[in-house]
Amino acid sequence: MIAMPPLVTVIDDDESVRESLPYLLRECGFSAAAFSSAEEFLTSDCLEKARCLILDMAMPGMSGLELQHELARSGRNIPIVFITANRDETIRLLALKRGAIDYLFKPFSETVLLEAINAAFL
Amino acid sequence: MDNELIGHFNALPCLVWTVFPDGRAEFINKRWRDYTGLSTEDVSGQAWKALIHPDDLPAVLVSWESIVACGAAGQFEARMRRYDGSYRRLLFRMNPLIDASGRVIKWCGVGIDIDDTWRSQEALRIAERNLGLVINAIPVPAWSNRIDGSAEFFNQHYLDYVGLSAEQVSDWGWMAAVHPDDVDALSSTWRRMVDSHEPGEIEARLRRFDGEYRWFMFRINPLRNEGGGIVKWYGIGIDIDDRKRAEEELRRSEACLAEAQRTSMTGSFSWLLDSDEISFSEELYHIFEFEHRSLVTFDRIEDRIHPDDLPLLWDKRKDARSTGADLDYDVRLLLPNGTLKYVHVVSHCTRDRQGRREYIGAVQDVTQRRISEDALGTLRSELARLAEFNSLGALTASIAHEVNQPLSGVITNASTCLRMLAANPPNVDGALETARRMIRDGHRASDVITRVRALFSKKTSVTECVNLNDAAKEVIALSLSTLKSNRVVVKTDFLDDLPAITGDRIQLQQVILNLLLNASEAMSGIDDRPRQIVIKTEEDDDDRIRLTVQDTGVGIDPDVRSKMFETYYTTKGDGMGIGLSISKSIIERHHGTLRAAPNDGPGARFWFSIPRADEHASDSEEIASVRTFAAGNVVRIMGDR
Repeated sequence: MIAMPPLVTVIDDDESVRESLPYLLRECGFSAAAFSSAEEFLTSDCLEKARCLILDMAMPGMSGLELQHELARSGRNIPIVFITANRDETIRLLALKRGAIDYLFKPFSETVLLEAINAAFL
Repeated sequence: MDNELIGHFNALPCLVWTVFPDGRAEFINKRWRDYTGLSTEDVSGQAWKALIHPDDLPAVLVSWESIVACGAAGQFEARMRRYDGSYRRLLFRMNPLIDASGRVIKWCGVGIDIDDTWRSQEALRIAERNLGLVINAIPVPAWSNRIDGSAEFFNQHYLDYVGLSAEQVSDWGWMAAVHPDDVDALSSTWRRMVDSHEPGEIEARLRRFDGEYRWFMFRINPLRNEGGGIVKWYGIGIDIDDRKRAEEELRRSEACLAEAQRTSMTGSFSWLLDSDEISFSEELYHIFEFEHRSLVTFDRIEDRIHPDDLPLLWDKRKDARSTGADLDYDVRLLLPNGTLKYVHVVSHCTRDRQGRREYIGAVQDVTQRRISEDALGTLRSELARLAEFNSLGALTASIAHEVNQPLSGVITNASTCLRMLAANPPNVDGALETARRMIRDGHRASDVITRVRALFSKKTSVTECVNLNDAAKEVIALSLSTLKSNRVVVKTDFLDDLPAITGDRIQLQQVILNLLLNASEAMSGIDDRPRQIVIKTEEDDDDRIRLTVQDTGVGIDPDVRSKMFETYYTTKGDGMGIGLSISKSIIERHHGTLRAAPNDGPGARFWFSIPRADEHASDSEEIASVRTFAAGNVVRIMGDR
C-alpha cells in the first residue's frame, strides 16, 4: 500500500484561496483539502488526518485565532500556518506566541508558503 | 334823688338802675332808656323782664332770686333787647342798699355791654374747641412738648394707638412705648433738636396697644414766640411701617438680584435711545471694570470694546435705533490691562413710563464658557481629523483586504501554473485551468475596485425646483456660527418672489457655502472696517437668476484673477482654488456662469447666474458626478477652521 502524502488542510472563507492553494499544494507533493469555515473543518474527518493547517485569520463565525485556541484546548497539536489579508502586527504576534508556525500576509509567494509548511513537518 | 345826682348817673357810660327788692324798677338812667328805647314808665314794675332774651330769662330769674335771697352783691350775664330789636349781651352787677337795721331797701345795678368782647371770646372758644376736636380726630398721633423736651399733650389717636393714658405718657412716660432698640437713637436725636432749636425727623418703632411695633416717622416743629424763642414743640407721627417693609423687601430683592448677577456673571443695563442715557447694574460695572456708579457713556463703552468688534457694535446700535429689534450678539471686551473678555448681549426694546424708547438688556461674561468651548472645538476638530485619518485607515485596510484576496489567488495560481508547466511531462491541462482561474481572480480584483468606486459615488441626484433665496438662507443658518466666530456680519438683499431655477439644491448650496466661507476668509485680516458680507439675489437681463456674495475683504489680486477658477489653483493651503474650480463646474453643469470682480471700494464680489426654471434640460447624471467631490471639498474647508 502506497503511503498517503501528508494532508495539508486549507481553511479560508475566500474562494480564490480555497481553489488555488490545494492545486499548488498537490503540485508540491502534499494531499490537500479545503474548508470555507472552521466549523466545517471541525466536523469533518480531516480533523483527525490533517498534519498541517493553512488557516485564514478573519472568517465569518469562528476566527482563525479561535480555532487555534479550540484545537489547543482539545489537545490536538496540529501545526498552523496563518494567512491573512490584514496587516495587524498585534494579532500576528499573539498567534505566533500561541505556537503558530508562521503568519503570512496575503498575497504571499510560493517560496514563503513552502518554507512555512516544511517547518511544520520538521 | 336830686337832679345833680341824676345828671351824674345819666353821664355814666353804663346802664344804671335801682329796683326794689320785689323787682319793681325805681330808676333807670338815660343811657338805659336810650339803650332800650324805652321810657321809665315802660320798664316800671316787672316789665324789664320782657327785655331779657327769653332763653336767658329763666337763668336770670334764678340768679336774681338767689342774689335777693342772699342780700349780697351779685352778678349775672344775659342778653337784653336793644332799641333796634337786636339782643346784646350785658354783664349785670347788683349791689344791695341796706338801711340801719340791715334791711335791704333797694338794689342798685349797672349793666355793661360786653357783647363785643363776649363774641370774640366765644369765637375763640369755638375755635379752640374745634381745634381740640380736629387734633383728637386727625388719624395720626400728635403731641406737644415743653421747651425742655418733656411731653405735655398727646392727642386721642396717640393715646389710643399706644393704649396708655395721658398720665402714663406725660413728661417722659411716652418713652416706654418706643422700641428698646430705637430708644438711644431717638433720645439723642430729640436731644440734639431740643438743643439746636431746629425742626427735624426721627424714624423709630412705636409699640401699638396690642404689643406690635410699627415704624413711624416723627416730625417735630418748634412753635416760636415773636422774639424767636421757642415756646413749645409740636410733633406728629406718620406710620411708615408698610413703606419700611416694602423698602426692606426691595432691598432684599435687590441684594438677591445683585447676588444672582454676581454668581452668573450677568450684568443688566438700560439705554434710553433719545438721550443715550445708559445705566449699568453693579455687576455690569464690574464686568466692564468701570468705577462703580460712574457715568456710563458710549465713548467709555467703546473704549472697552475690542477694536475688531467695534463695527459690529456700531451695526447693532444702528439696528436698534432704526428697527427697535431685539438684540442678541457676542462681542469682545479689551480691558486696559490687556484682559480679553467675551460677553453675550441680549436686549429688548420697550418704553419707559414717560413713553420714551428704551432698551433693557443683559450682558453675560461668557469668557470661561468661550474658552472651554474653544478648547472643546479644538479637541473636536482634532478628533474629527483623527477620525478622518482613522476612517481613511480603515477604508484603506478594507480595500487592501478586498484586493489582496483575489491577488493572493492570482499569485498562488501563477505559482501552480508554473509548476505544472515545469513538470515532466508538463501538465498543460492543469496549467490552462490555473491560468483561467488566474484571469478570473484578476477580474475579481478589478471588480473590487469598481465596487469601491461605486460605493463612493452614489449615482442618485435630485433635480428639483430650487429657490435660491431659501437655499441661501439655509446656508447662512448653517454657517452662522463659523461666520460669527470670525466676527462677520451677514446681510441679505433678496429679491422678493425670486423665480425658481432647476438643479441640485445641495450642490448649489455647496457653491454658496464655498463663496460664503471664502468671503469670510478674505476678511479675516481686516480690522479697520466692518467685516461684512452681502448676499444678493436678483434677475439679470438675460432672464437668469443671479446670486452675488460681496465681501469687504482683501479683494482680488489682478494676477490671480485670470487663474483662480482653474482646477487646483490656490493661493492658500486650505484649498480655496479647488473650491472655486469645483464651484465653477457645478454652476456650469447648471448651464450657468461663475464670475468674480473686485469691488469699487474694498473687497470683492463673486456671483453666479443660472437660467430660470424650464429653460434647459436637467442633466442629473453630470451634476451627480461632481457632487461628491464638491461635498468632500466643502467639508475640508470647514474642517480646517
